[in-house]
Amino acid sequence: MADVLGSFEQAVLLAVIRLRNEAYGSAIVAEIHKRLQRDVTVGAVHTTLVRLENKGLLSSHLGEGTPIRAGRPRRYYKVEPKGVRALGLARKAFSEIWRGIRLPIRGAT
Amino acid sequence: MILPPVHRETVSGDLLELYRDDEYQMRQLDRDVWYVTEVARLVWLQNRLWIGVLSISMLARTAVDWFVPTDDFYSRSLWSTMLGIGVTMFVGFISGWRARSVVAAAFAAFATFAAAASFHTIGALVLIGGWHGPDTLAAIRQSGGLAEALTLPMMLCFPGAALGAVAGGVARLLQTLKD
Repeated sequence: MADVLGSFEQAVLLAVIRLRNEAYGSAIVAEIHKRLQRDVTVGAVHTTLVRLENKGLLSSHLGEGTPIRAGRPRRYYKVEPKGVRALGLARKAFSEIWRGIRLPIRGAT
Repeated sequence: MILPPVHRETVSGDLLELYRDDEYQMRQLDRDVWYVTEVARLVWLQNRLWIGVLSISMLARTAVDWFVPTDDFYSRSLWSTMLGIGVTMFVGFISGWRARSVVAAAFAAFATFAAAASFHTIGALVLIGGWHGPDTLAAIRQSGGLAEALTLPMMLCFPGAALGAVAGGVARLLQTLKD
């Protein structure tokens, strides 16, 4: 369980998968914002992307700049096979944690 | 500025793209507030550990001065000053190394000191709000007064930035030699 991804790491990896060839910083922020319906900071996403890339779960390459970004390049991310395996492990781990628990939980409000 | 060169352009581009995105942002004022908050959060994420260490050490010094009075402040001043210098120079060195910039080192040291000083001010106000008996008030007067306790850490931001710049300069020099 020590290496199971956290929920935010999973959200970032899944956003990269969903966005396919358009998975770059601000698109990932907007995608997570849309899915989780909560504010997501560029700093938190950037820190997580760097951490996941250092772990070998993601890879990245530079794209070209666009006028809306004042010509600054986009960094595009791709999930590596190790990242897909980590997502599978995380899903399995969370399924095990939830196994046998039915919602709503009796006695809880 | 505080990011490594490899991420500097892409992250600032992401911020700019979201700032200008009409679906993500609403009014101009919201955009401006959002941008400043995002940058502040980025600085916080990069330096939160050292902000925590510095603010706790400042608050510990204040608490000791207020609740364990002494006539001899030399040894207390020595360790708190050394710790402050050490943390500030470490932040400057790491930031200068990571961002390959002396200006980034000075900015990181300044931001770390300013954030720690702000947390210290809040903590000190909480302390005096909870414990303000005659003995404590006398100890506060003896240690320099409430105004000094609340303003001195803020005033040290600028020497902190200078120390950070020196440490950042050392980091850049070492990088140049290494390259």
